Amino acid sequence: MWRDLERRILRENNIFILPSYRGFLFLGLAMVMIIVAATYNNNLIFILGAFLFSTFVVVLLQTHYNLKGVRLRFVSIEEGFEGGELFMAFDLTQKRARFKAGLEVRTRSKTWKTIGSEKQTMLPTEQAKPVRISVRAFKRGVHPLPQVILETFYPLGLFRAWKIYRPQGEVTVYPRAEGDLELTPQPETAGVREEGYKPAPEGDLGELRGYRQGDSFHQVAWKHFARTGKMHSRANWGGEERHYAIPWLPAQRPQDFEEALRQMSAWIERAVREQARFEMSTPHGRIGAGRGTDHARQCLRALARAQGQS
Amino acid sequence: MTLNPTRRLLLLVLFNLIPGFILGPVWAALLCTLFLAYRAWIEFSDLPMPPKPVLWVMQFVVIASVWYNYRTFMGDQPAGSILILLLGVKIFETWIKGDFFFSGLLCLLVLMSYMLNTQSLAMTAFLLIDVTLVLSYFYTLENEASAKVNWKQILWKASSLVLKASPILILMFFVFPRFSTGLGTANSSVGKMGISDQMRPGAISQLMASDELVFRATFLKGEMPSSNGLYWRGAVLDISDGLNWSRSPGIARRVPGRPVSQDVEVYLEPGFERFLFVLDPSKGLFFPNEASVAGIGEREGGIYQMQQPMRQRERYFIERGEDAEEHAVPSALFVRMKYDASPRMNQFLSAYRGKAPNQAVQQILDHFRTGGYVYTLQPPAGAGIDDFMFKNRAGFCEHYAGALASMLRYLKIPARVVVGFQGGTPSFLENFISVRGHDAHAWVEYYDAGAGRWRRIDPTAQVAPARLALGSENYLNPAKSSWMTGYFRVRAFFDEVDSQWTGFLLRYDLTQQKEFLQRFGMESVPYHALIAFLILGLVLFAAVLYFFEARKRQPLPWDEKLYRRLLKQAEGWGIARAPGDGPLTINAKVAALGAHLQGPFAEALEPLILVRFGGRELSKEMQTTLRQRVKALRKLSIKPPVH
Repeated sequence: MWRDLERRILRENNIFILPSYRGFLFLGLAMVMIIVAATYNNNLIFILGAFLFSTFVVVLLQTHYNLKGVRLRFVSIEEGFEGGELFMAFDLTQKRARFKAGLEVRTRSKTWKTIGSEKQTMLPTEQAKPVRISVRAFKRGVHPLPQVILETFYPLGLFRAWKIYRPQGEVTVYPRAEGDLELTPQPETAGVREEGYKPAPEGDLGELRGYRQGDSFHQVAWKHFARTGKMHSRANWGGEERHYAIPWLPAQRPQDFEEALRQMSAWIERAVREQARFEMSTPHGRIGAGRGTDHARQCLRALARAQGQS
Repeated sequence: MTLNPTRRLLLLVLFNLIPGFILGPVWAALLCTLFLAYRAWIEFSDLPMPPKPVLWVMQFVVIASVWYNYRTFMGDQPAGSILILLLGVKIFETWIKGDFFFSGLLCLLVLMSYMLNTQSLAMTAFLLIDVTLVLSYFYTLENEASAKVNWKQILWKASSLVLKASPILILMFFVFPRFSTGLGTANSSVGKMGISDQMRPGAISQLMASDELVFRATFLKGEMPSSNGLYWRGAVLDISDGLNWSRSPGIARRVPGRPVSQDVEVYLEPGFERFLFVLDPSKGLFFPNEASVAGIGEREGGIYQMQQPMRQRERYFIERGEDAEEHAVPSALFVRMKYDASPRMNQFLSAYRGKAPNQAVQQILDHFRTGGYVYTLQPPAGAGIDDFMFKNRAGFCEHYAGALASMLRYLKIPARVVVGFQGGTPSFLENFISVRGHDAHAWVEYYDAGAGRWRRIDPTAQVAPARLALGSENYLNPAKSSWMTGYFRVRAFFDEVDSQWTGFLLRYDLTQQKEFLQRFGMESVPYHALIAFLILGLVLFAAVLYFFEARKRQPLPWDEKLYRRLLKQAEGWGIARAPGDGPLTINAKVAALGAHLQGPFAEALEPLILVRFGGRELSKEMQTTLRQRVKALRKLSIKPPVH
């Protein structure tokens, strides 16, 4: 109910404005001066106090106007590990040709802490501007996107004007890769090639396969790319192939559910680092063997969604 | 040189200390400068900040020095000193943006403390500059990136902010209900030298060496007398000790609150002892500041005296004319001498005994004129009246006035010495005069029993008539007088502007505010109505300012304008532009609509791409051609032409 009420009151793209801490100090000083002026019957001090108050009012308008006409559009968010950085991408847009300064994007959440955000300036010639912020992923899981604030303190920092945005979507946070349990490769799978790959010596086109997302840049055949403009990866890159069968560790250690997931996450990360093939067991079935970051992502998402004691 | 927030703050604080060196307290300004120098040394030598104990020592120095100077922490002088010194200490504790901001606010508080001393035009100008600088400083704090780029732009932004704030300021000044906290202060004098109720040779000459402004007068009615006819009465001294004169305690009457005919308007600077100077002769004095009038007493001899020296500039009016009360027969006090005349003096005065008072006075004045007396501010040593009259024969107004009044008393003619000012510097405007320290003067009044009234006589005028005609400044510095006169007149002009401004500031109190509002038909407006009016004004102003801010167009380069027009045209053909769509993508989307659109569209777009992304420059003719091409697109229909 509270959430619903809040959504209705704090509507998206409305401008809210309040004096900042510095603004309250400034206003307090103006008031003190007016009282001193009355005490000493001193009109020049009154002028100074009134000057500060007038400036306060003008700055209120300027700060409000600095946010008017500027909109924020959510573009994307990267998935990431618990405790790591997630990058959120936005587009700042303005319809009219105006100069806007000191615009900053940050999350409106106590848990999604913004750790990297820069003040943006929009020139009259800029109708749109990409903005990227980084937030700290606070907890494993699949979370709704955090609310985002576009705020400004321009020009003097006396006021904080802000707009609230509620991007729709979810973000997956994988368990932190952490743990020192060893996982032995499956001996019978070492050296097995995937179907369609030719174990031929390096140097010919026949050794290559089409580039797949997640392939290491070291694996990409750059000379071939320079000649033809097409991306291919070396098929047998990585030398000896390993195969890991990652067990569902929480089943063995239910009391350390989160630690177990983190250990599994660490195993996945290691498998990717070693360019090994790996498969993973889950309570809902087995994720088949695969390799590369796409496959790792599939496994990590399963870990992120895992439900159990925490 | 790039100025980081600390260096900018150091400059700002230094600027804020300037009035401190002029208005005082100088010692506090000096000590703060010392702190500032230490902080600058740390900053420029890249040294670490001093440890906490050093800061504690500095704080102790601040407290101890204020106590040593004032023996109290209360009052505006100690408070002003504390503020200045706190500013000096605060610059050692600037770690985060909030600290720098707070230091900026302290600068404004220091500025306020200066204004307790003066509300002059110069201080008003300083206020404007200082507020602009402080706002610029706040701007750079909030926009650190642009602070390194363009100082002119930052100052312009702050100035435009000040300009935009001005209408609200004016509205507030006139409409904001004046109220009183009831905590008004009656502080001591700021310690300027002035006319006192004692006269000893040397006291006035010290004052005469001063160029400090004492008061300014505007003759509102009638013509302003020539400089040598302007005698401004301060104190009347009635106890004689030869050349030394002092004043009997006497009883002061309360000045009636009645308004007098406002012939002369005077602005008296604060701190000059306790006398309100009135033109000789004057009928009465009217002090419009109701809060201060209670402390003013009227004494025999047409003297107005305050209980305490003023702590701020005050205004009063003088009614010119003879005062009827001055016709009363004087008491025996006015012929009393502390010591008898010496045999030599008796011998000298024997020539005048038995003559009518007017005749005796005239003959003594003749003696001064013809007896080889000279006017000098450095007379030879010798404190007695006999030394002066018969040996040195050199002195200045105090010697002549003191000696003449004493001699008249030896002759049993009631006499007294009046100290005040004589003359003044007129300005370009005919009815205005400014009186400074060097115009200090002493003269004599004797009682003319025949006429039944006191008469003014000025023995100095007999010895050095040019002193009165030229004024002491010009008389004593004749070599400068030719070109200095012009300077004095210009200065007097600025004095007048200053006087008008200060007068306006002083005059505008609750009474004036009511009068002002009555002019707009607002009779007996209650406070809450004024507040409502003020809020309404604020809202209206805010709406107008916001409206103009929103209308203010930022200039776009011609190529940007044309490109936007092209995009708008494409939108008109139903092409939705996704974020990140560049000109080539748009061109491709237009191509999908048909060659009849794509051809002319590309003709307009391609040169623009070269300008925007290829750095190509186009001639004015080509720019015009492009505009025509973009304009021609409007006529094209989305449907392909039928052949």
